[in-house]
Amino acid sequence: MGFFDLIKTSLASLNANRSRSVLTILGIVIGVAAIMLVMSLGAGAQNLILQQLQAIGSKTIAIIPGREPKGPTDFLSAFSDSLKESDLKQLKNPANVPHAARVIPMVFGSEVVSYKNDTYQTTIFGFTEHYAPLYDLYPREGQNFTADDVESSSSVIVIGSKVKEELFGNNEAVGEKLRIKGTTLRVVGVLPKKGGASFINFDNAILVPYTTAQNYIFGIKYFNRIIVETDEEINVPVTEIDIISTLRNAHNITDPDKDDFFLETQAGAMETVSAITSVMTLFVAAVAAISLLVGGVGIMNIMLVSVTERTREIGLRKAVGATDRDIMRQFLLEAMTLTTLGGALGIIISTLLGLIISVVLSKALNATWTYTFPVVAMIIGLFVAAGIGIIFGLYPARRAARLDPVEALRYE
Amino acid sequence: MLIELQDVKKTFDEGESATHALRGISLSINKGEFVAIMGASGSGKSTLLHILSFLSRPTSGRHFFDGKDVSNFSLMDLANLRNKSVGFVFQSFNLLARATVLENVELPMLYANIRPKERRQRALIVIERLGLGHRTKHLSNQLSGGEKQRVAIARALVNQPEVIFADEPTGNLDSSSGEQLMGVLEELHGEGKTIVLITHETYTAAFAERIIHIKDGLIEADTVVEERHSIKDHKFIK
Repeated sequence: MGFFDLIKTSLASLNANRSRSVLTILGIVIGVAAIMLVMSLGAGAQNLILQQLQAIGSKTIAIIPGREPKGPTDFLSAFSDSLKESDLKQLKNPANVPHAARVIPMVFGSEVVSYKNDTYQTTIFGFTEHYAPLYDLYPREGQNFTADDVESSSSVIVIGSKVKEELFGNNEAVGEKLRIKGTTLRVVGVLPKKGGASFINFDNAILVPYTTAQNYIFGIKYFNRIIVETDEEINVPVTEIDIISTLRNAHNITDPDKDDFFLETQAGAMETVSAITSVMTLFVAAVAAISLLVGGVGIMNIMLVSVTERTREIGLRKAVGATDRDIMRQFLLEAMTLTTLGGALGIIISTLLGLIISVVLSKALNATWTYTFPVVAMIIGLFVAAGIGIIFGLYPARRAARLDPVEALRYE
Repeated sequence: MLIELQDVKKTFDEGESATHALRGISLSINKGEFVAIMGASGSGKSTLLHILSFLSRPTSGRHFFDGKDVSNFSLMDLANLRNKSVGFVFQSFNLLARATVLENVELPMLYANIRPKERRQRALIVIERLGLGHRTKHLSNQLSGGEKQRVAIARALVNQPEVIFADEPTGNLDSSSGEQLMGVLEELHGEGKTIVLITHETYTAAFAERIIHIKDGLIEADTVVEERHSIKDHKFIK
């Protein structure tokens, strides 16, 4: 039988049992759709995070206190007070870290701020005035706090656009006084709207001199981060080495395993994020793939039923001249058509769902979540679907092909 | 001589007990002959038909068709012979229920790799000839018994085979349709087709020129029919 006739015959048989065919391929549809969706969401999440990491700046190195987390449950590393004022001095010394253009300490924490009777939960960031060139972030109203403010722990703050909106509405904010943990602070500047796609959500933040944050708000003597900005991007690796040796010296560390700090760069963070999201995506996709296997078993089951039901038809086809190979190919093609159709349907469904989810997430996260159509996953999905048809259709098809025509014609 | 069997035996092995369906059959059928094979159920007449029509192979003995020894043909070669050299008419019609008359008649040509256009032309000619021209697009399960059996004959004829094997073709038909059907077979015989008819009805068998009686897997009698029935002698209800 010619290939075209074979396809026509298979389609006619599937069409004759339409509702059964649809139910049968549901497993494949769900399997392929799940895998495709997971792949595309994984890629979308990765894009979003990488986009945010861009904001760290390619010339900066973040020094983080504590030991580098060894795994997702390694919480202890997150709390550490190993970065002190003395470290800042050492790092600022050009003899130690020659390529450091700026060394900026950073403390942060979540606090409730109040203005008159209103309260609002925000994140407080303690910086030096150099955060402005570092993040390219200059107040749109009022001005930045100054080096003197930092020196003297002045009670001055710069607030994010959302904080301003929440507490002051359309009223003037500069010059007003806010209270955080019993300390009164004067607003000197309001930041421009930045949007969600940055590493730090400055719209919802309050920036204070780090000395003020340490002494009056958090009551701590250490830093949560020290940001080192190098003069040139190319000097990032050598500066990393300089920082490590400076801090090991300052902390009297000889065994690198005992480091009480670790470094993060844009390149490193991107690498880590990519690796994590890729592994997660593959893992979830592998779980979704199990449903494909279940779908395949369903196909085999239905094909076996179909062979039994159509025993007389097979006998007749053989009587009028169908060879074993003709019958085999017909049933195999039926199984393959079912699964490939299921795969195609799954791709369409996952594309629609992916688009909807990307719109919803973009709104919810206030960021640009781009839908990525996973072309590779689609091609693999189609081939896998067809492959499942072959694998799980083979046994029923062989059974059909090997039927004895005399027995098959007699079958009731 | 078109068909020749030499001491053909067929044994079915079912575990410990073997059934000897045919225990040594020798016969020959000439081109253009109209032969009826008769016998009680279990006599072996069906097994004989299956071997004659290449649906199964003899356990021993030799089977010649058109001068060739087909006893040791492969399954594929036998399928090819069934496709090109023989046509089947079954008691239970065996049409594809969800297919149209045209599709049913085209079926054997599908396996003969005939191009769609020629397939359609040839099928339409045969369908027209059997008086089913108005039924071409109908699904086969919308037809009456007599019509179904005529579709089956159309299907049997479409690849222009040498022999038509009819296995109790009137068994599921009322007497009028049955007679019409025998009329068609008679006509085909008149045109030179070889026809092998399996039946247990003496009346139907008498349409043939020759009757072979089978009993217990052996030929009991092989007789020429003296007084042949002919459709011309009957007035069937239209």
